Amino acid sequence: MPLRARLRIARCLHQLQGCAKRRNPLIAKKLHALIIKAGLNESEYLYNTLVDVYGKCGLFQDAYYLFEEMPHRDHVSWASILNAYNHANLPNRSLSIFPTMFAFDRLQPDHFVYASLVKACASLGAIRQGKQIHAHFILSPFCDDDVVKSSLVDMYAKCGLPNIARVVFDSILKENPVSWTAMISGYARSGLKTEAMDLFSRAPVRNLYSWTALISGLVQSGHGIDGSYLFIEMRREGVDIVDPLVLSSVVGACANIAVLEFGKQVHGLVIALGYESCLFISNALVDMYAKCSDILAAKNIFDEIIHKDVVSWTSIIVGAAQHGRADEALALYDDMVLAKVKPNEVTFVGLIYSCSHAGLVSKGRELFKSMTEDYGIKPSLQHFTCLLDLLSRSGCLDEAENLITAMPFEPDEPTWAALLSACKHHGNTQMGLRIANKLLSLNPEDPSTYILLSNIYAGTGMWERMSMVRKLMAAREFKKEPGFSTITFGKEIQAFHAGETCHPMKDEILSLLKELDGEMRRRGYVPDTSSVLHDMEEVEKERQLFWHSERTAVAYGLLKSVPGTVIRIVKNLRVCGDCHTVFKLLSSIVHREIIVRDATRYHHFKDGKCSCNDFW
Amino acid sequence: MLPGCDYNHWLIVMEFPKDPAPTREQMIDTYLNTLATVLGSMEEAKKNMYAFSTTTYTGFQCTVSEETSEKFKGLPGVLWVLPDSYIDVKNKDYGGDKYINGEIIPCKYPTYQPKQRRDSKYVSKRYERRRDGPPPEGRRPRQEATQSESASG
Repeated sequence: MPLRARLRIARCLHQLQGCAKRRNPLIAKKLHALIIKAGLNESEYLYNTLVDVYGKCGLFQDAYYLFEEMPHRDHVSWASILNAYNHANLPNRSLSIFPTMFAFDRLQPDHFVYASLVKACASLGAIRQGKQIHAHFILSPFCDDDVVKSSLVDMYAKCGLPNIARVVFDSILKENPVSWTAMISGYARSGLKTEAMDLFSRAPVRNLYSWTALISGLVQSGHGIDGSYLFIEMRREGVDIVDPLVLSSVVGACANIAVLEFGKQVHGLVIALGYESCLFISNALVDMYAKCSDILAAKNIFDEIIHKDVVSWTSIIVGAAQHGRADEALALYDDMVLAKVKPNEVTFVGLIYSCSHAGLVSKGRELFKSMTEDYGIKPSLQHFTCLLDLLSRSGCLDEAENLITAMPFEPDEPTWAALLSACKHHGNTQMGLRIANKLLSLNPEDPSTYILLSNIYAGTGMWERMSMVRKLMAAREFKKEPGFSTITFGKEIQAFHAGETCHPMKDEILSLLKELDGEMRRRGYVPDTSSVLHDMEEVEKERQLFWHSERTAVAYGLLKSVPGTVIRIVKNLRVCGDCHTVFKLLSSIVHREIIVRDATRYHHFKDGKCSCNDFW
Repeated sequence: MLPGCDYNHWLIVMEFPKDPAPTREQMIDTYLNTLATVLGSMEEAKKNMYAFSTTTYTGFQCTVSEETSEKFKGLPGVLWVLPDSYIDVKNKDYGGDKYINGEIIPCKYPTYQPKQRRDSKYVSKRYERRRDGPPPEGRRPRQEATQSESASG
């Protein structure tokens, strides 16, 4: 080839490489045109580089056309196109074009190609293909390549196979932080806490990325508390937070374990570090404040977000729904549609849920229909449950029963129990008895189902059936999960268990509770013992209710927290009917807002009323 | 609890109008006035405000009891009342520009400039700088992120 042509090629190459660095698609296209006009198409180097440049600029279609056009493709071409697809978030394309490498080009993959393919499998969670590629890799001359091995560790970790990942990890010859981080992440994500911490403590390099891998993995696998403690330790070690992913993981942990105060501390840190405008952190904060029962703060964060995405909208809508603010949730949805953001399944769960708590039957039906017809979302069991809830509570019992039998999911005990409870509430005895018999034949597990059944039979005078149910209940020996409540304010967090407490402030708590009890009875309160499980004397039942953990918790809160502030309690079980009444009264007696998060929803008790409208 | 968090140090984030946007001096005055409203006198305010920012965030930091911190809620312009913690744990530094009875020492700890990072799997959306004002001092070079990002993102 003449010198001049070679020089031109060299110059073009240089410019293309600069282009790849700067990711400038316009210049890439200009150079491409120049190459064609100058008749330099013969050069493989140029083609390969051009494919790579187009890939890096995000023009993967063009990269692929060029790739197809190429008369002679080599490993570099393949590596470039596969990387292009991985970068463009189309790993499935990477996998689908790969077979032609053998078929048409008669090439075997090299280590770059293997690495790209494994990465594609990792993104897709395609473990079958991944294992095939792994096998191929072992048999190839590149089987000792550490980069491919690191990618394999990452892939097995992402596909939930940490033990296999460990085997590959141990076979890596030269240590590198990438593989250590991937392995730690793999263990953490699978919930293998001890292994993850063990490896982390032995890691040669502990930087932000390994910390992040450990913390986010643990939070994801449900170990929020451990994740939070590790974050505190990370702060103590003075690790600079140059990348905010770890912050959003910790905020997520706060949401799951409902620790508002720690969440506020992290929020403060987010602001001080300058990450306030980061979208995924803001989304996490909306969710956290909502789950920690401060819906106003959640709304404030939401309003501050400039470019809200579907996660932002969904978080606030679901939050509003769980806090009983149906109108707000629906209004937000209208705004979301106006903002042209597409809702997803979770959005609709929140919306239908809020309708069910406000009795908005036609709106609920309309939303359910819109979900399937306008957005093509297949209704899940959760959606059906919410819709059933809506219909049952509003007395549309026949429609509810039809829906249960028609839906493509097997109705379970809670579904039938909910319908039965509605029958009782609306006085539909005929249907109630029919459902009760069906429910009984399912051999129910939940003790409250038995109580419901016995009350139904008692209500209709079917004493034989009632005593049969009570006998079944006694025979079953239910292991009731012990109730406990945690109360948080300021730096304090205290847990109280059901039954008489042995807390140091026991006497003050007892006298306060007695005083409040007296005041409540003066206002007409009578303890509702129908929800007490065991057969015992009325007095005993009342005593049991008196010592429910949420009551001792609220007494402690009243004694120790700053007057006038909101009292926040988290209970592990569903709040019982009697406590619900008590809390409504308490909120008006002591003029404080009390928020209780129980197993299923939030109750805001204020001025004698509850946000759930007594529908829980 | 985060290091430095003792519920006696508080971060109060405030909101300012965009048009016309206040000057740095005006913002500092607003901070002091807000604190004075809660503590009762400007003298007390100057003693208890230990830091503030007008760039990375618009807010100030002060030493008050937990009970007193409740009084900020609902004051005009107050957006958030949050417990403050160390931004630089090794040096026990709460961050922000230091305020010592009228004297101002600018913040030395770098805070992060949001950038558009296209190939980072951690960040999917653009950040935006929402505040006007002089840029924060110094920018710590980003740790070599590309290697880790591609494998463990």
